[in-house]
Amino acid sequence: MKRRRYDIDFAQIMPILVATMFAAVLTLLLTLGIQRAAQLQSASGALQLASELRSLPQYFATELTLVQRGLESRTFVGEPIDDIATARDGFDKALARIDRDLEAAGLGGNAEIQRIRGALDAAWQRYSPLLVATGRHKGTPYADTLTGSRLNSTGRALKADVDEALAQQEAATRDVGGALKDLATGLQNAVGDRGRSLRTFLVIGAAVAALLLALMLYFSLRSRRAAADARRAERQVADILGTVREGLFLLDRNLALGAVHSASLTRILHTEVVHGSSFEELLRPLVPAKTLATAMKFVNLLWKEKVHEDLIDTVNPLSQIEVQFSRAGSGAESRHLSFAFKRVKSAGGQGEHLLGIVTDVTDRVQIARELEQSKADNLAQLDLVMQLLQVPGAQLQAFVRDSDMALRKGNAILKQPGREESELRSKLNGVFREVHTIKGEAGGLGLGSVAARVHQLEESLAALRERKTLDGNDFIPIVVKLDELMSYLGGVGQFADRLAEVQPKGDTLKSVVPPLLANQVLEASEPPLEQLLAQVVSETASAEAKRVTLKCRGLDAIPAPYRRAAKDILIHMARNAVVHGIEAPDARLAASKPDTAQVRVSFEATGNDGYVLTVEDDGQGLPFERILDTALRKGLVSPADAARMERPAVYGLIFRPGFSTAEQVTEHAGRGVGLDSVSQTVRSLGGSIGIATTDGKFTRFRMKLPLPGGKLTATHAA
Amino acid sequence: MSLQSEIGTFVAAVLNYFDTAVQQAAVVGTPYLALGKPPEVFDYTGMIRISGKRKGVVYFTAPKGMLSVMLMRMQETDMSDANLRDLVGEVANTLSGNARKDFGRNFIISTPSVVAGSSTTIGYSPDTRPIVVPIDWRAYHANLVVCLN
Amino acid sequence: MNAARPHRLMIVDDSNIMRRKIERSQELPNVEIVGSAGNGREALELHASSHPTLVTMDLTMPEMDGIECVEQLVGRDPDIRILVISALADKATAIEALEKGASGFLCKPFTERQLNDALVKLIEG
Repeated sequence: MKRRRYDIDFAQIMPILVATMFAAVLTLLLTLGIQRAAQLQSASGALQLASELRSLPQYFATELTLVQRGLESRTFVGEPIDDIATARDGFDKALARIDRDLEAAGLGGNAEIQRIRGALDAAWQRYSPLLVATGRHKGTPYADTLTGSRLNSTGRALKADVDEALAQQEAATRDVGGALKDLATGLQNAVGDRGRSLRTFLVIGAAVAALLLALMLYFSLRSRRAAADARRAERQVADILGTVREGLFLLDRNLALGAVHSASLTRILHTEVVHGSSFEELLRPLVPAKTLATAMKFVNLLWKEKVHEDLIDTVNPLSQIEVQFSRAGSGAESRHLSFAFKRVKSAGGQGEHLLGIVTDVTDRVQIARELEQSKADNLAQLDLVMQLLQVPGAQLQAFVRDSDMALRKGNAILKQPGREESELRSKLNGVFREVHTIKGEAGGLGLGSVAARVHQLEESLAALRERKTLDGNDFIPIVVKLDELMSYLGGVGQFADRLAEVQPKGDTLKSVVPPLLANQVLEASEPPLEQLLAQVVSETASAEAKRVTLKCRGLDAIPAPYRRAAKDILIHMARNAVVHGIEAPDARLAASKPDTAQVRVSFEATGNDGYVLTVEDDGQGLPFERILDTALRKGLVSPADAARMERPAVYGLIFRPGFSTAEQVTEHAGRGVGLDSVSQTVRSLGGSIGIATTDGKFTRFRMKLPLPGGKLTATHAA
Repeated sequence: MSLQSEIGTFVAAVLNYFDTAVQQAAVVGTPYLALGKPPEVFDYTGMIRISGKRKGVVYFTAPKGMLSVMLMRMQETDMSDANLRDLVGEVANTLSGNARKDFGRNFIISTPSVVAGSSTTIGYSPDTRPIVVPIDWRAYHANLVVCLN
Repeated sequence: MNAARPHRLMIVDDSNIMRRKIERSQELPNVEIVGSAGNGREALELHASSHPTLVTMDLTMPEMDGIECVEQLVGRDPDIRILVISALADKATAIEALEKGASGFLCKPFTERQLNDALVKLIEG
């Protein structure tokens, strides 16, 4: 980690360092170069002077000779003498300039040059006074005589000086010229050295500058590439965030949302996600307050160094949540979301962020549910088949018919126009009653799977009952389940029809199912009849808000061949007694009867002819007029017949198929569900049914059954 | 999506239409199954057909009087047959729109069509039971029928 | 202390079956089981005598429940590493234990593999 950080800093500093060095080197190079060039120029100046001076000794010699000759020929010699003085003065000045140049060229300290310079000076100092001497004579050097001019004293002194100078001339020329030549040579060497060193210096400097420039270019390219890389990386990150299906976001220590998040996040959460806003506020509209509090605690755990993030996955309260998104105009939509959190370790080694990942798992959850459902369905189907095989085909058909009728009745209740709250409640109760009846019958027949299925609808109805307010919308689940149940029972009905074809009448499918298995299932699944009836009665009574006690007698004595049939008949009749025979508690009290009604069921042997199965209630009795009305309305009897019919015949109508139909929706309209199937069952056993009833007092059904194996003709005895 | 929530979507769409376009709420009656005979068809019917994961037909059927009053509420003075068709088609449009939005790719939803006349029969698969959702508005009575398998 | 087994594990669970299951399942070579406790109070006593470095902790126990026990153990030894093992009826309770200083959570029922994986993570920190 440390090393990496160093690298980063180094890379950042390097370009700056190189640029600074480049500027420094360039400045140094220019300064030194200019200085060296100036020195070189000075040295060249000195060299040039020295070269120029080399001709002077010869000049002096010429001038001196001119003076000498002039003196001999008595001509004017002032001009050459002045020239000598001027040239000598020039020499002095030139020497001074050479000294200045040498100093400027930095050769002031050069031993060789100074030695040569010293020699030059010495030679010149020897020579110069001679020249000075020639200039010291004033006045004309001649004296005119008759024989011509002759040298006067001045002339003679001048001639002596000139002669002396010329006598020294050779040595002076040699010495001064030699010294000047040496100086020129020395200077030439020095200039050459200086030039070379300047060149070398410039070359090296240029090389260093070029190197630095190259480095600068390199770093600038590198940083540009780095910038390009960074831009590309940024674009790629943006692409990823724009494309990824998961909602990705970052949280800081205050659980505030980071600057970037994936585009999916807003789609999944159905809300804009604002940088810096708190995660808690983002969640608040989605989850219940309690879950929210737990979730915030959970997320904060991830900051705890001590907590291992892999070991707390399972307690994540947001790992699967169901949320409701309200949408304009179309109610609410339920989605399943899954949140996961990961610590993000940054370069510094500290967990500086939490990465939040939210996924819409609705499809996954639904598939899982459907799988579970289909698994359960398969098991239920197997169960169902096993259960169906235990019931005689005809009975099963009757059950399906009755159930279908009850469902139609329920549906007809829904179809009624009432929209008021109270009407909706009474519809709910009506449907509940119908459904509950089916459930009881299914239970009575040992069709647990069917009963469970019906129970689901009953549960939905019960849930609606708990609602404080009701409207039509609330019934949508009911009608959908009703539809499903009809389809389901349709399937059972088809099975029952097939079963009825292959089964001998009144028998279960023992010939199809191995007897042992059938018996085992039978034994295992059958509670005592008395208990079953008590359950049916109590459930029906509570659904009907009635008070009923059940008294049973002799049911243990029912011979085996009749047990199944007796059970079906009794369940049917007992429920009918509670639903239709017995009045509501307040009605009973109003009629001076105890509010708790009685249903009595008994089975007894009647000597040699067989048995009597009795179901009796102390309710309101059979409503004669209403039965007749219904039968007329249904076209079961003609008005002419109706006028002639005796009471027993009228009561007999309730056993007629089609008497109870889906249109009979009110509680007291008829004797209810499927008495025809009871009658059919009794007749299929070779028995008969008798009715005794008194208005406001009681209704009693007596079912006579022959001895098993014996034959009685099927008749209706009133 | 379950049939239940699909029906919910359609009902919500119709109610929303009354709330927003007609500016007077309608009331949903208790839904029921049309057993035995096809559900009642009123004077004008706007329908969409659905195929894909579920198949079938969804339609809104209303009597002429209701549609006329709806038009009045919408400041419309022209009560011509064409306008009444338009209105019922408009309702079917919202059904279609919501279905597209909510059901997604698993469904193919036809463009809405309109039929007039209460004697028309609307075809649906015989092994489905249409679910009828009564829609009451003022003194009028219309039906939303969902018939999907 | 045993140099070969530097990590000392204490099992806290009121169920004998669960304690034995953890004892049997634990198969990390560098972990020594120093003892089991059936409730929080026993766990504190055992901690005082055998100084465990790792703890598996049930939450619902008689006498002193797991959350209080976690709090006390962490109070005595801030470096102790505690794995809460519980049937996850209530996530909020598990989170509370983690807030009090436990390091991780393992859901009952678990496999041997899951237990060992969790212990490895617990040791690694």
